[in-house]
Amino acid sequence: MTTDLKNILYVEDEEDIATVVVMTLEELGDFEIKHCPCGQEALDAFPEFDPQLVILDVMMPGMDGPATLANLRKFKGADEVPVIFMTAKAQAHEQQRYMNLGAIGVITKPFDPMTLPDAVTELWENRESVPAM
Amino acid sequence: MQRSARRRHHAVFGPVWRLFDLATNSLTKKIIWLTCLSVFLSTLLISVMNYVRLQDTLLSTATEKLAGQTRLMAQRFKNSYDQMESDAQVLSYTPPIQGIIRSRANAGVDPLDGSSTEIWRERLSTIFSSVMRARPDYLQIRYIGVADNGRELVRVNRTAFGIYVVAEAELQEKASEPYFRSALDTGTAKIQFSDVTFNREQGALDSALVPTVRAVLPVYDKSNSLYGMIVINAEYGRMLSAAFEEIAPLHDTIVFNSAGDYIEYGRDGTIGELEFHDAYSKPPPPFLEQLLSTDRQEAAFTSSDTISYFVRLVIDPGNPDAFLGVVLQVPYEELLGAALRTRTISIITGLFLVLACLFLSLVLARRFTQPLRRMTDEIKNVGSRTHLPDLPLDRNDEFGDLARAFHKKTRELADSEEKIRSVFDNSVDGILTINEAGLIDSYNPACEAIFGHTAEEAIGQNVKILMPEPYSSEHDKYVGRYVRTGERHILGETLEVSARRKDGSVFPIEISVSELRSNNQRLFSSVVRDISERKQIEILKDEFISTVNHEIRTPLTAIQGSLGLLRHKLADQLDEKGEKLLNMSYENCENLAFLINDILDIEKMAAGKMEYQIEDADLCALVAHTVERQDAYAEKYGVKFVVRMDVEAVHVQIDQSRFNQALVNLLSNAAKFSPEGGSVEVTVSMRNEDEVAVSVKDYGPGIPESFHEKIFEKFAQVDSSATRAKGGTGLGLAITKTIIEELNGSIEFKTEVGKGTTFTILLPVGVDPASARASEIEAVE
Repeated sequence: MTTDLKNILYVEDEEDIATVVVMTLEELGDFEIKHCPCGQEALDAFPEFDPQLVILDVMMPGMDGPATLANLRKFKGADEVPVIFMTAKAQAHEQQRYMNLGAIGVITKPFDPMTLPDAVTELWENRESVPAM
Repeated sequence: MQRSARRRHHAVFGPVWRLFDLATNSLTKKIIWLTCLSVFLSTLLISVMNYVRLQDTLLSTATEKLAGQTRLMAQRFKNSYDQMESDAQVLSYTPPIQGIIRSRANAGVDPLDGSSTEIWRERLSTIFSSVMRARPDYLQIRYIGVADNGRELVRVNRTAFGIYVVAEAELQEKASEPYFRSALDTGTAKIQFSDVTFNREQGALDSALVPTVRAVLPVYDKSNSLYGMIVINAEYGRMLSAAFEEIAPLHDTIVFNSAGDYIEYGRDGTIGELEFHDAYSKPPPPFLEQLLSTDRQEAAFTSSDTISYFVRLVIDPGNPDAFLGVVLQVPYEELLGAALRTRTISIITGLFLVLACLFLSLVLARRFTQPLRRMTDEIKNVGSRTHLPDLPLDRNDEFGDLARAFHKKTRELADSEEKIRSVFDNSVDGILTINEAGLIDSYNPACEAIFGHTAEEAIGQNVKILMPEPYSSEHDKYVGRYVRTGERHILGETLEVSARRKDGSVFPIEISVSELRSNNQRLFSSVVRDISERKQIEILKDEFISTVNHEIRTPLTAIQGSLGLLRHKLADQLDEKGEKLLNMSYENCENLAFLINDILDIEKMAAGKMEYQIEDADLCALVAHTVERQDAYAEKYGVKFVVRMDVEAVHVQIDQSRFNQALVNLLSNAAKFSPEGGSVEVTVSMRNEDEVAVSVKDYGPGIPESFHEKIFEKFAQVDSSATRAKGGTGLGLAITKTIIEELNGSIEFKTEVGKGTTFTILLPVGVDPASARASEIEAVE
C-alpha cells in the first residue's frame, strides 16, 4: 500500500477521449499510461505491462468493458488487479452493477480533467475499504 | 339431514302443499279457483243476507199473527164467562125469581096471581133445566136464599143419568161456602165468579172432584134488599174444552188461570185434562210461573225452538188477580219454514252456480291462457332460432300488448346484443370470459388472432391453455381462492403478464380482469391486448436512448476533457477575455452533461422504469456522508455546508443512491443561490413520532410567490438567465420530488424573498416501503 500508483492500463475505443485521458493522467497525475483501443489488445498487453490499475471503458465494440474484465480475471496474476470502469452510463443501478463485477470504482463521462487524477488516486488508495454498496 | 327433514315436512303437509300448488302454479287454475271462490262467496253472502232478512220479516209477521190468534182465543174464553153472566142475568129476570120472593113473603101464596111457592119453584126448576140442557158444561143452577142459613130454594143438578130437580128435602144450606159469603160481603149487584174449586156438597168435597167455577148473581127483592143469589156451577175443564173445540186453534195452546190451573191443547186437536193446581198430574210448563207473576197484558217470548204469545184476560174487573192467561206456542221451524226453504234453495243454487262457474271458468281460462302458453313456447324457442319469436302482434287485447311489448324489447335486446356482439367481434383487443371453474365461456375473434386457438377450440377449455408455466398451474388455485375468500390477485387492475400461444410461444400481454354476474353465475371477463410489439418498441427505444446517450457523451467527454486540459495548460498565457471564453465553454459542457443525466432520469421516471433498491439505512449517517461529498461543490460557490443533527440516528427504508441524488439536487440549488461567503444549513430532526425531516436552508434571494406553484415542474426556473448564470437544468426539483414521493415521503418548502429558502424532505420512520412493493409484485404474479 505504500507504493504509489504508477502504471495504469487504459482501455478505450474512442480515440479523442483516450487522447484527453492519457494527456490528463500523464501530465497532471504523473502516471505511466498504456492505452489500448480494444479489450483484446489490453489482454495482449497486460502480461508485459503488468499494470497496478486497469481503467476500462464500458461500451466498446466487440469485447466490452465487463467482458474484458472477465477475461482479464482469467490471467494468472491479473485476478486481483484493481479495475476502474469509465462509462457514459451514469445510472445508479448501472454503477452498482459494475461495482458488483469487482471494480473498485466507476468514473462517469464526461469527467473533469482537473480532478480526474485525484479521483483515480483516491479510488486506488481506498480500494480495500470500498464499501460493498 | 336437511333434505330428509324437508321430505318429512312434505309428508305431513303434502296434501296441503298440493292444494296450494294447484291454487297457484298455473294461471288457468288461478282463474278457476278465483271464479269459483268468488261465486261461492257471493252466493253465500246473498243467501245469508236473504235468510236473515226473511227471518226477521217472517218472525215479526208470525208474531203478529200469533198475537191475533191468541187474542181471539182469549176472547173466546171471555165469551164463556160472558155467557154464564148473561145466563144468570136472564134467569134473574124470569118471573119465578120474584114470584118465589112474593109467595114466600105472603105465607106461601103469591098475592099477584095466587100461585103457591111450590108452583113458582117448579116453574123455576123447569127454566133452570132448560138452560142446563142448552149448556152442557153447566153442572148446577141454583137459587139460594140469604135466609135460613143460605138455604137453597131451587136446585137443578146434572148427573150421569140426566138433569134432575133436587127435591126440597135434599136442599142444602150454603152459608158457609166462600162464594156465598163473598156475595154477601161485596154487597154489589154485579155478578161474581168464584175461584175454581172442587165442587162441594153438604159442606164437604164432592167425591167426583170436579173443578168447578161458579157465577154468583145477587137477587134483590122489591124493597131492594138482598134476598138471595143465582149460582151457576160450570165444569171448568169442559167449559175451556168447549172453547178449544169451537175454535180449534192451529197451534199448541195453554190456558191457565191465576190459581195455576191449566189445560193444554195440542195443534193436532188433542185437548188435555184440566190440571188443577192442587193435584197436577204433570207439572205445568216452566214459563207458567213467570207469566203468573207478570203484570203485562200481552207478551211475546221465545224459547230455544218455539215462539210464544201470551194474552192476559181479566175475568172479574173487581178482582184483577183473577185472570185467565192464554199462551199460543209455535215452533220456529213452522214459523220460519219459508226462510229455511229459501236457505236450502240458496245453497242448492249456490252449488249449482259454483259448478256452472267451474265449468265456465275452465273453458274461459283455457281460452284466455292458450295464447299465453303459445307465446311462452315461442319465447322459449327464441334462443334456438335466429329470428324473432312469432307472437300475436295483431291482437287488440292485452295479449297483443304483451306480445308487442315483448317484441319491442326483444328487438331492442337483439339490437343491443348485436352492437355488443359487433364490438366483441371487431374489437382489436381480445375479450374473453371464464366461469368460476376457470373454463372459457366466450372468446372473441381478436383472441383467436392473439392466441392462435379458434373460438371452437378455446370455449369450454380451461383458461390455463393460454398461460405459460408457472401461471397455468397456479391459476386454478387463484380462481378457487378468490371464489372462496374474495382475495383478489389481478381483479380490477391492468397488468402485464406472459401468455402462451397455441404454438407454445410465450409473449407479453396486457390484461384487465373484471367480475360480472350473468344468470346468477359469476364470470370473469378479461380484456387482453398483445403487447409484444409495444414491448419491442420499448426495447428499441431504450436501445436508442442508450445509444444517443453514449454518442452524445463521447464527444462531450472529449470536448470537456480537452477544455479542462487547455484551461490548465494555458492558465498563465491567456488574457482575461480568453480565459472567460474558455471557462464559459467548459461550464457549458458540464451543464450539458448534467442535462443529459437529468433528462434520462426524467424519461425513466415518466415511463415508470426508475428502479429503487429499498434498504434500511441510518439517515443521519447518509446525510452527513452526502454533504461531505458535496463540500467541493460548496467551495466552488464560496459557501459552507453546516450540518446539524437533532437526532443521533434514525432508520428509514430508502434507496440510498436515489436519496443521495435528491439531497444533492437540494444542496446544489442551495449552494448556487447562496450569497458568496454564506452558509447552507442542513438539519436532520424528527417532525413527529413517525416522520423524520431533512431540511436544507439557504440565505439566498428566496422564491417569488408567483413561482411557488411551478417550483416542482420540469424545466422550471425563476429566471431563465439563471440557467446560464448559475448552471442547472431546471429538472432537479422535479426529479427530487418524484424520488422522495416514490420513497413514500414528501417534500415541502418555505421561502421569503430576500431572506432565503428552506426545502424539507419528510420520510416515514421505520416503515418498510419494500414490503408494500413486495406485495404488489406478488399480486402481479
